[in-house]
Amino acid sequence: MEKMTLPDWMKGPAPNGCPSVDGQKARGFIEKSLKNFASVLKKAFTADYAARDGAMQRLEPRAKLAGFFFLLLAAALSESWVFIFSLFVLTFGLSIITKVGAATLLKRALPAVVFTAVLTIPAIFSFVTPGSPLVDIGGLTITDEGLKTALFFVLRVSMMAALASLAVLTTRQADFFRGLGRLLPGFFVTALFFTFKFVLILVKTAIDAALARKSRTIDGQGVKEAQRWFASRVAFILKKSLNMAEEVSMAMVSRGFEGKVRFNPAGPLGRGEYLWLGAASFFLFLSFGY
Amino acid sequence: MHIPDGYLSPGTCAVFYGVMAPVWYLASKKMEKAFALKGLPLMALGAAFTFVIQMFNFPIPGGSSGHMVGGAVLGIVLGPWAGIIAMSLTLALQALLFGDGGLLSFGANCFNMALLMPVAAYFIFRVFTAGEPGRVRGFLGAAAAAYVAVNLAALAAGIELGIQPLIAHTMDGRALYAPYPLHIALPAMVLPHLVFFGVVEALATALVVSYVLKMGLSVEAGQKTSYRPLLVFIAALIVLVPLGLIATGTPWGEWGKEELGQLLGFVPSGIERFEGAWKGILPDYGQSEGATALLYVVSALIGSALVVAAVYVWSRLWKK
Repeated sequence: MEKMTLPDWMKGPAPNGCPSVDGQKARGFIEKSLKNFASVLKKAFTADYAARDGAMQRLEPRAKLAGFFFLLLAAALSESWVFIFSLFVLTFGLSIITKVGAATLLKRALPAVVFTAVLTIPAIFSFVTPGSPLVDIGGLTITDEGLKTALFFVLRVSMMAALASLAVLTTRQADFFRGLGRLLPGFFVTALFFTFKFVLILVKTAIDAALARKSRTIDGQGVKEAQRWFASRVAFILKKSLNMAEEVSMAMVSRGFEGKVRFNPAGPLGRGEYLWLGAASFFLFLSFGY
Repeated sequence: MHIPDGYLSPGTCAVFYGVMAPVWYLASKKMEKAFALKGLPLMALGAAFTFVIQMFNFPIPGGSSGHMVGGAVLGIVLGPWAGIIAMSLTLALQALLFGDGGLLSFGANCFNMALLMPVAAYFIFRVFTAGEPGRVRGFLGAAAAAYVAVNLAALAAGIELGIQPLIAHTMDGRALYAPYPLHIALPAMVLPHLVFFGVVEALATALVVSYVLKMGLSVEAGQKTSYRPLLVFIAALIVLVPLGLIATGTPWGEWGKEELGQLLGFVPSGIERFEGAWKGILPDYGQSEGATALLYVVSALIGSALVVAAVYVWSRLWKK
């Protein structure tokens, strides 16, 4: 009997990705909207990194988030190149021991880094930052002070974007909200958790609306008609939101909700958590002097 | 308009957290009183709604498209307090899970988009639609409210970014955070909003609000409108007007020919020709020799009374 084998293209890990997000350039407003929705869903379901057996993933969420906040604060406070660079090395090391990988982290933080880098280009020139001239390009002078200002700014923003991304990637969504619930007021965190769940439901409604429109459109239609469609869909989503709020509220009351949000008592912190918090607060205190 | 982390100094971030903390507290209390147990899902769904409409691209002539912030729609439809909470939740989710906007700059982002936008939009819309507004006035009111609100938010963001080189720099004067001074940061933030994003926000908000009013969806519509916060705000501004007398030097942008010549090295021809052509009804706010804080306040009162009268007359005319 002939041996059956799978073709090579089926063995690879989804080589083409989602066509709405990767590769093709979105053209019309519908395609752009669909691309945005797909990108949200893609970002919302990146739980595989949080499920990996990495050093940070094992930490109790409350301690982990507090530690990341200390590091963010340290990165914001410092005025030293050496300090920010050492935080960069630390984040790079963390990305390895968490099995997230530097490339994934970079990809996640890249939009903020690229945006900031492009935005900062004029700051290197003498008309924004006067100082000692370094190079003259077509009548525009790059100054030493301008270059240092821009590089330090980009380094700091990249650093902070990478840290925030690592915190999100290494924490399961349920743990993330549970951890926040022990650091921030319960009402706020519960509302945030609800918001997250509702976003996923409403995004599905919006995708259905956009796809329905796309599948019925053969030829391009006028802007006015398109704008009317936009307004009617947004109003429809609002109507759906308000109806759902009513239903959810009744469901909550019928299950005994009295307006007070309670979280299960937090478990004890272990050696790993104390080590992490100690290291993060060490960096924070160090940043006061650097 | 979402300011990422690293753009604002920790001091600025702390100030905005300090400003927003009582606002959040007050707003949550108001919500509790107005909606009781329904408040939690309503706020969460309001936030989710804003999150989703920010991803919808709004078509504009020329084949291009832009997206709206949504703060004005929230303010008009849910009211200012619910708008503040719902918009803050949207921004929190974007910052925490989607990396849009910073965690430390969250307070400043909330001040711009969750406080200024819904509150300004709500009151402007209310003033525009006083009495019994028709469809046209409702549409124009929503458009004006959204346009002003989004530009106000952009102005605030521009100021926050523009003051960074002044308040946070190294010993040798290098900026530690956002590197552009006010005269660059402010136009860079405000002009695109005046010309493009403001128009998108205005048109999209007006269309959505028109649909909402037609469908009778407004949560806010059933509640009694209180102008007290607006009146208190205006009264506070009038009382604070004499503070300007303490400041030294010429206000930014109000330079005379001579000062401008010193600052720029030349005087633009238009200013050379037209300066002093119109003196105003109360030249220099009626300050003659021995001008006092009282005159300053009286000028402010006359000015604000004229604005209120103009709006009143305008709304009466619309009624007819």
